[in-house]
Amino acid sequence: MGLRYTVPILIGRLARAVTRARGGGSAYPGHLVNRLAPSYLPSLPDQLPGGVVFVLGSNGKSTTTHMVSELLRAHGLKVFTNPTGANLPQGVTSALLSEVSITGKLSADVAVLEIDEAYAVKLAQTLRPSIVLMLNVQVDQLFRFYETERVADMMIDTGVLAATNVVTNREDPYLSKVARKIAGVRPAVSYFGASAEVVAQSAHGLVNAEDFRDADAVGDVDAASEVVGWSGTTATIAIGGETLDVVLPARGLHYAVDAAAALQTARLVLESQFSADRAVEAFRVMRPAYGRGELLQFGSEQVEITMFKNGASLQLNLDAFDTPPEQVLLAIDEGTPDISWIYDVDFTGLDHVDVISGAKGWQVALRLEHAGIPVHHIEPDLKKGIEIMRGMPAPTSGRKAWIVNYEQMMYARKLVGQGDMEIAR
Amino acid sequence: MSVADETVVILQLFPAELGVTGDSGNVLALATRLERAGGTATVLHHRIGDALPAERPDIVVIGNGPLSAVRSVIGDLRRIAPELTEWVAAGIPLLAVGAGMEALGERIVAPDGETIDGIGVFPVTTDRAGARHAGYLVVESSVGRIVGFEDHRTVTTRRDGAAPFGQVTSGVTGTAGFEDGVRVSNAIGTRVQGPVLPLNPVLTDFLIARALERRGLDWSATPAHAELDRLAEEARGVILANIDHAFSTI
Ligand SMILES: [Zn+2]
Repeated sequence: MGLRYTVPILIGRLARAVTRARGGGSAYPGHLVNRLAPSYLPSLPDQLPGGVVFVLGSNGKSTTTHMVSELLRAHGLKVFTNPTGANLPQGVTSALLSEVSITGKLSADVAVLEIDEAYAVKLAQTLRPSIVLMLNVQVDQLFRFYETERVADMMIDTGVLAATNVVTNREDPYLSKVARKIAGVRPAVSYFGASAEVVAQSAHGLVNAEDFRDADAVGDVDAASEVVGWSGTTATIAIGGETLDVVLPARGLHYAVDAAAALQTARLVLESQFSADRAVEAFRVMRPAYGRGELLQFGSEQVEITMFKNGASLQLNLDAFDTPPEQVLLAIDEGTPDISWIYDVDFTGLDHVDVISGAKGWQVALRLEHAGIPVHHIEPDLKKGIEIMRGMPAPTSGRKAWIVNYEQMMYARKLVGQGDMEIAR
Repeated sequence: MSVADETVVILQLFPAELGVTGDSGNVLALATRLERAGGTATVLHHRIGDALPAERPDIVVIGNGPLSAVRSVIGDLRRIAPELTEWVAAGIPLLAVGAGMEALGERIVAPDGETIDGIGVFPVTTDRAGARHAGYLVVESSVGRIVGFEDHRTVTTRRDGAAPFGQVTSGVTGTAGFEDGVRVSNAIGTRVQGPVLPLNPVLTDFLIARALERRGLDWSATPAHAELDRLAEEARGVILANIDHAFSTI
């Protein structure tokens, strides 16, 4: 560290103030600093005694990054993390800008970072993570990645670069095979997972992508951290010879599996300092990550926001409803380019939809017509769609659910006056 | 005699491997349209190693997937190739989307230069090292105007004299002005996803009509299809309004 980063950091902060005043995105200031001071981001790991943890995955990155961070904080560590979705190099640097001193010094013990798959190998070379946590590979963003196996390879190629540990999903057909790509003893591979009985409890299981290029599964390996019981928002997780009953930040088996992954990762960071009691307490007070089963106050009502970004996450969230939600808004816009996959999603977890919204609303309505699920209103303009929801009587029992893609979630938050990106943290 | 007395058998090939772009939606669209007219649809799935149904199906559907999926099914596809070839020659309607069309073609050239022999139902060769095309498109075909989404990096070359499915007339992905897909008898290969059939009832009706005319039955849309048609029309309208939308890829 030193004065050489002061000018770039001040310029970056100025850019941040300007883009914020304009209500713009948060990545540009980081992009600017990365260009002005290319050696700055690579200096980060040397400042962190606890090292850098990467969280990768098609689904659950934000939630699990949040879980690992909160588990470590509950053990007294000072954690640097990036906000939801700020998972490109410029996003990481932008997050740093708000935390470092003007000489670039970061006062933290450990960094826990969600990382975009496409940038993961490059960022691993820059940030030299000690631990890489790989959550899952799902059929996701095909418009971006084209083939699912490319995404799997991006994650696996990153995992093998971890200095000490790879934590991977035993139940994922691609990622469970990472050990086959590691020649020496480092990084060590450990697994998280869910028992077969627990997976069978969820209508469509874990919805991980099938590996058609190599059907030879890893088979019966032990998971260091395993979900052995799950019911809605609680899970029982076996780890390190103990059995922990934890409260999940939102409903769903995928959150239970994320919790098992986070526990194993936190345990590797903390080593002998790991305390089961502190971990259970951390989960008890944890709030949901941004847009993942989060409750928003909307007038006198509470709205539960469920964000999805692909068919797998939509399916997992629909499967998590124990009864069909009483009032439902479903919105998808052009932020999700190709939604062919809506025909692979089983929507029978819904008994009706009150309002379908977003530019792709008619496509969704067409899908639900094929499923025989009644739709009361199709209103492509989300603002008007929300007004229709608002005009409905408060739910007598159960919940008011908004099921939205990322862009519609951001827009919806803005419309109800909770648009600030930082609010979840 | 009307379709109300009829059972139509739809055979979907390799639904697990070649089904990543909502291809089950194409099967669902066929079945739903038949059922709304009072008919019965029986959907059969052919998986690797399965015996083919004893009787010819009425309509065959094969979907899209990655090259690894094509590699995993190609051996079984070769095994059933004689029957598929015979069905297509006999005029059985078939819809093949993306990789399904490629595998039914003569040859696929992988990005690394490896060549995979298809089964030659379609007189096409696919080069998988082309430029990336991801976005909305409009195809003017002999069946009608088809609207949907394409996402591939392929160049498909038809043998001399082979008919395309249609002409790409709009879209910003770089395929506009070129031909889409291939047509042999009542077998259609296309790049159009969406999935294509729910969005384009005109193509669904074409496939059903070809199946039913073999039984001497006429088929056309009825008031029972009005809601499906209305929603599809609205969905296509939004796509056409956003046809110039450029989606960023990596
Ligand atoms: Zn209503």
